[in-house]
Amino acid sequence: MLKKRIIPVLMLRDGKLCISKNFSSFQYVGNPFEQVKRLNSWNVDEIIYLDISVKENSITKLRNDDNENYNLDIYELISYVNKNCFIPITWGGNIMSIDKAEKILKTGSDKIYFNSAMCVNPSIIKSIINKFGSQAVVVGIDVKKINNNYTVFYNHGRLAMKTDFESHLKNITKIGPGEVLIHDIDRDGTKVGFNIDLLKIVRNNINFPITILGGAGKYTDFIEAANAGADGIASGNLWHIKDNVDFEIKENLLKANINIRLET
Amino acid sequence: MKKIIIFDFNSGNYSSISNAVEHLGYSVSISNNLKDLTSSKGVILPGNGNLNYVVSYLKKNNLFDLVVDLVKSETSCLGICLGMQIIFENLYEDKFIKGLGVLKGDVNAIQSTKDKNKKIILPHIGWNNVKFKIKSKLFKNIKDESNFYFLHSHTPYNYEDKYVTSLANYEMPIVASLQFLNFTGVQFHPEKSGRNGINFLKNWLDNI
Repeated sequence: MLKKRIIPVLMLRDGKLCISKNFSSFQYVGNPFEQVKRLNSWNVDEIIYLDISVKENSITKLRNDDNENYNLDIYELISYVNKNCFIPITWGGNIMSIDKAEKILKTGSDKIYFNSAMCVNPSIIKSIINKFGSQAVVVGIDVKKINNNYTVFYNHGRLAMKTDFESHLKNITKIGPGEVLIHDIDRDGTKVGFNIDLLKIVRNNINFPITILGGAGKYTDFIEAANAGADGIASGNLWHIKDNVDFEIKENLLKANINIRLET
Repeated sequence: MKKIIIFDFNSGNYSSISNAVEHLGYSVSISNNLKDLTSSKGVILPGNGNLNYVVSYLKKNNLFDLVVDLVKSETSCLGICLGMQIIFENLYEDKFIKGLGVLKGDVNAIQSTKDKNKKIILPHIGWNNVKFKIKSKLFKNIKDESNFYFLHSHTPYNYEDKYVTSLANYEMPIVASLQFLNFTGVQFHPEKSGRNGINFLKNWLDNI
């Protein structure tokens, strides 16, 4: 039986891991290298790593906590992460060219996550799918409810898309990625629970796996998302602020008779 | 140190599999050069890419027959995901393409056994139980029904059952692993299946 995936999301901003609220306030929480080793030793299901730095150039300089002058670019981080991690890794953020996407996949990311590219230049995604297969591609959908309608946002949640939500979902189906990651911007970092209404709309429109992100606070939030049809249930902040997160989430899901993988 | 070759299909991320093999104490090179392949104890056909892209790449570069010979040879070969699927006769991803034809069978999109028209969620992504069909030394120290990581939309049909060593289930029975002479095929990704996957790879490496 296929299991629901419980996925920690690591957010990288200007070289450090951070927790985020509503895509607009950020708090630095740690070292971009060490956290991966910890998650791998927990034997978690999968990791999503998002570069949310707002930078013009494609390379983000990283700072290692032990040595303030120790600069590495994201490719060195990806390579490090992959060497220490025998579970699937998705890398995303600031990927607007075929070259960068290919380089990230070849450096060691198993899947690549596109968000803004889907809104402004989907042909990049199509090229990557043709070469690497649809299973290597995750499309992100960041949304906000405006006047009772969902609106798609891109460029770090700062620009609204003119295309309406359902047409955007149709366009994603045409491009044919392996999965989608949906994220309600207004719930980001709020701990009020996942947007189940959004999940249901996407579920009715899309035939590939859906991961939901944004709003996880209580362990029961995960049960609600699993029962509403999410294939992957992701959260960022929770993994930094609670103890023994993976086990606690999964134990709660098990009690609710939801199929998950729990191996120690 | 024993050297393992990862066959270069020119299609993606070989670092996950090479990191896992190196983690187990082997050296790795990525190549599709005949001399490298014949001098190696073990060859891995990696599991990334699109069936059409990879088979066309092999044909364009005169590597097609080389892989057929390799799969039938004394050399231990491990085909992962797509690296297992290409050895079948007929492949259907996007459009039809002739596979290596080492084993009888058609690789096609996963369909629900109960209702062929049922809309199912594809790809089959995530952790699924692998049920052993034949006792294999490759599953040493791994419990029956353990979880392995799958990531695929296609699976073999009309294959010869005798080669199948384990099965998973997603809307239909999925060939999880097979053994043909010295060729081991796996649908799951051992390099991304946590501790079970590392155990599986270790067993394969110990036996080459």
